[in-house]
Amino acid sequence: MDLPSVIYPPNKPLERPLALSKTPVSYNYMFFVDVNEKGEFIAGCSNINGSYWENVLYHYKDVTSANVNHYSGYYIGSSTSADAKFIASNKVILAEDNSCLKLLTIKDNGNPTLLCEEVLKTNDRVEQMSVWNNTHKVLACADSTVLIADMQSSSLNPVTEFKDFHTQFVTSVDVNKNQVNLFASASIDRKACIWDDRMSITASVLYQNEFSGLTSINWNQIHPECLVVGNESGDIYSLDIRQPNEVLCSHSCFNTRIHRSVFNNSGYLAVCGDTCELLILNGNDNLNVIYKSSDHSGFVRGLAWFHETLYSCGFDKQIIKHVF
Amino acid sequence: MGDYNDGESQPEQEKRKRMSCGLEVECPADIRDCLRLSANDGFHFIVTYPVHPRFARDLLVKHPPRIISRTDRLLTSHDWNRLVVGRLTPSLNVDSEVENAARHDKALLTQELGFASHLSLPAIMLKLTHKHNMNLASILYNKLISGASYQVWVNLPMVHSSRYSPLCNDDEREDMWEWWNEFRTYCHYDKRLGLALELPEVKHLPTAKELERWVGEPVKALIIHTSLFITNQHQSFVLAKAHQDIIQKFMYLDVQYIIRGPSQGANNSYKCYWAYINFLGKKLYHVDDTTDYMQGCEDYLQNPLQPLSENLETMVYEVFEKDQIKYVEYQNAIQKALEELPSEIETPVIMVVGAGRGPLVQACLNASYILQRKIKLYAVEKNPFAISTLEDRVQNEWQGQVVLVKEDMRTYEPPEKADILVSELLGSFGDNELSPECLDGAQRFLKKTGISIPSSYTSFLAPLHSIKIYNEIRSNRLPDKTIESIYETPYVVHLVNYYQIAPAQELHRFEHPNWSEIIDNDRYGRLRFTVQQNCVLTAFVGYFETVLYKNIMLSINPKTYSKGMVSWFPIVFSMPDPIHVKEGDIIEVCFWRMQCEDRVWYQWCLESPVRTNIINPNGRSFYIKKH
Repeated sequence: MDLPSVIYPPNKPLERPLALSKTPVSYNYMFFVDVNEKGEFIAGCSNINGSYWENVLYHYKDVTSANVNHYSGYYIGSSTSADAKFIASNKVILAEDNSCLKLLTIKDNGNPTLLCEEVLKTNDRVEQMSVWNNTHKVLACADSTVLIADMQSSSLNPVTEFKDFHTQFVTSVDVNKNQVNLFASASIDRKACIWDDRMSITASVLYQNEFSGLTSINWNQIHPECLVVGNESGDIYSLDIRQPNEVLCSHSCFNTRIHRSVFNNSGYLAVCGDTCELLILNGNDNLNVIYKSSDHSGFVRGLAWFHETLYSCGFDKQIIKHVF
Repeated sequence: MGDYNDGESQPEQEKRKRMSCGLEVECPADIRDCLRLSANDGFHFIVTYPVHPRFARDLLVKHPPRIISRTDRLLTSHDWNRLVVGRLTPSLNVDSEVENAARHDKALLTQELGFASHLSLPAIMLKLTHKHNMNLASILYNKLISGASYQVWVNLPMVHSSRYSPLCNDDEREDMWEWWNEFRTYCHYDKRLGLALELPEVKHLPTAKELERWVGEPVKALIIHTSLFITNQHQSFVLAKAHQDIIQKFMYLDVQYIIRGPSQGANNSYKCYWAYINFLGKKLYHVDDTTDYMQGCEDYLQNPLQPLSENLETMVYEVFEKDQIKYVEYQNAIQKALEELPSEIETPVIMVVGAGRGPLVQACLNASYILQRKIKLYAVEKNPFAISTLEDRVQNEWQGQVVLVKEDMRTYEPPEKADILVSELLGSFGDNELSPECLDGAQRFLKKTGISIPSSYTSFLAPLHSIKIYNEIRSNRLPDKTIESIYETPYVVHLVNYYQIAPAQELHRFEHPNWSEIIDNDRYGRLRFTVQQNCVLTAFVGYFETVLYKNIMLSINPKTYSKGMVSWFPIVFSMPDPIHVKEGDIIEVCFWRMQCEDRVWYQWCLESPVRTNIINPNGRSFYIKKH
């Protein structure tokens, strides 16, 4: 056993050097995971209760590498981070808690790494992001604002903000991947909204919960008339944009708040909350449970689908593959 | 003052407001470095999350996480205690209607409050996210009364976004002040509870009267988002005129300023924002002749003088004598009265009663000199120490032109009657230093055709919203005073942190000389005020106007204020408990001036919107001694 070095006198004040890590550290607190169409992974963790609050984003060439943390590239940022998404096979957008959106490029010239090419400032800390297919536009929420950032815009104002709509913290956003003007949001103000940025009033209320704030929203991409929202009670509600304020069906998932939910291309919905469990519901049919996992030993935070396989990460430093 | 130019030095101005600025850095990587950088940029403190806002955890399990946040050893306790305001995790909702969520968040909140105490943070900041927060108030109030060392800053926008959001129906429009009012009422208006108000966008400004109401609240900080800054012709960051106007209103409350949001400045520095706020401390701070006099007196409670029973001290005389406006107006009144006296009176007799150290005597001599009309001047004063000063002036400045009388004006028997009787016996409420009783006594040596300066004075009353004054009274209680007695005592106060609920109305008047056969100086008045917006009635504020002679008057009534006059601050008659009043309510107050053999007192009660008992009956807590 290695003994720590002597610190003398024993009551010496703390002199811990604080600096950005030179090599990536695997922190316990993994917040997100995402997969691109090639099966490459990104996953991010942050140091949220140590001395230096930084984030590390890992790039993995495949799931096997992800499972054993055999990364092929990394980016270390001097802030914690909430979310990251692939916006192209070799480009990633990272939301850091210093109100920066960073466009990272995965360089693979023998020694792959992630380079920051662009930084956009937002007015507040971004909570979650969603991206459209084949664009450089990213939808995000920050405080009570919904925003669209164009990461390759030549405009002086690459960020479009919608800030006079929700009255409380927006917890979740999702896009209609096939319609670049359509997106959805959920907020602690208990409202879920459908947005169309071509309209004069861009947002309309799809659903309002009577008792609790909303914490997640997802657009069912194979049935674009359907969305689901999650709330602080741990329930998921299925909604239809043609019937605002009507709940088609619901499922009580946990007795804690829903954190994230994600549809796959078959209409299956993965759900996690402030718990170590995760569920997969059949989003096409009454939200019945088709899979349940308690494999994580910390809160589950990030979910990503690659075809019919779900990958999750959480506050236990693990990326877990779920096959059902 | 020219336009702001960040790159050029500004001409130095003598007076400026010290603008204490904080920088909000939500999740700094290195808190030590963050403090260093923010200090380099000019900031006095930072606002940050002591516990990371994304640190989701369940404390209601057998083995909750042991690490809460960064180690406290990163900073000295002195720095934690001086330089860091802690934001609570904004998602905590102990008032959630979801029982599990509320219980879960209560444990987290308790831990975060405990951690803030452990670090000895000077203040914590939390945001209200919904209207009803009784559980949050309950937890916080428990902490406050059990000795928590921190202040609690409630972070609110001035205007709730439901007022302009297209997603909200009319029945969803919220008034932010109501949220605050409910919350602080649960906490019994604790003085450690303050506001951190967000400066709104220009298109969402509060109405003028809403702004006035916010000014009446215990605002500790104004939060200014960097997105509100615009660039001027020098490419420097500045605030719009509308924002400057708001800042100016709060400047006199000694608020602190918190910069929030990402920097758009060079190298991500925040120095440009600090520099601009500092600049506003010069630009917006209006200094005049009264500033020195008023500074340090803001919302400070003073006991009304009792000049009949206690001799004034040299410091008090000196302060009074500094008020040029007052004495110039007195001289104008004396001059006008002297001018209008019939020319048959060969040598008019003027008596200054309560001459003090002689400013009014000098005013009489000046008037005589200006008009080149000879006068016979008496100065009556009962304070032996002031007499000493007057005697010196008679000998060395007035060439023996003044007859000095060391007597109480109520008992003095003069050898002749006066044409003009001059006095300055008025208090903040006009009659509250017993000018009526004194002048009623003194007028026996005034000719029937004689003139009294002042010739009348009128007391005014207005309903007041000032939690600050309510708390000042409570926290300044001396051990030998009961709660009842301190709220039954009137105080003279330079009001700053207040909102006047309605314009002042005339309550009662005294005229001099009063040749009625039976003089009754008791008064009773009943006033009705209409409440213009929901607020809290904590007291009534008293002012006076006086007519010195004909059209020459002095006033501390805001509507007719004698600009530049500093001799009198308003007088406050408190309510024992704050009373919530609503827009359109009628506040009806009954007010008495009463007296007996040896004293005069005021008593008052509320008739509407609720009826109260009579406050200060029989002058049990406060009275003015006649002898």
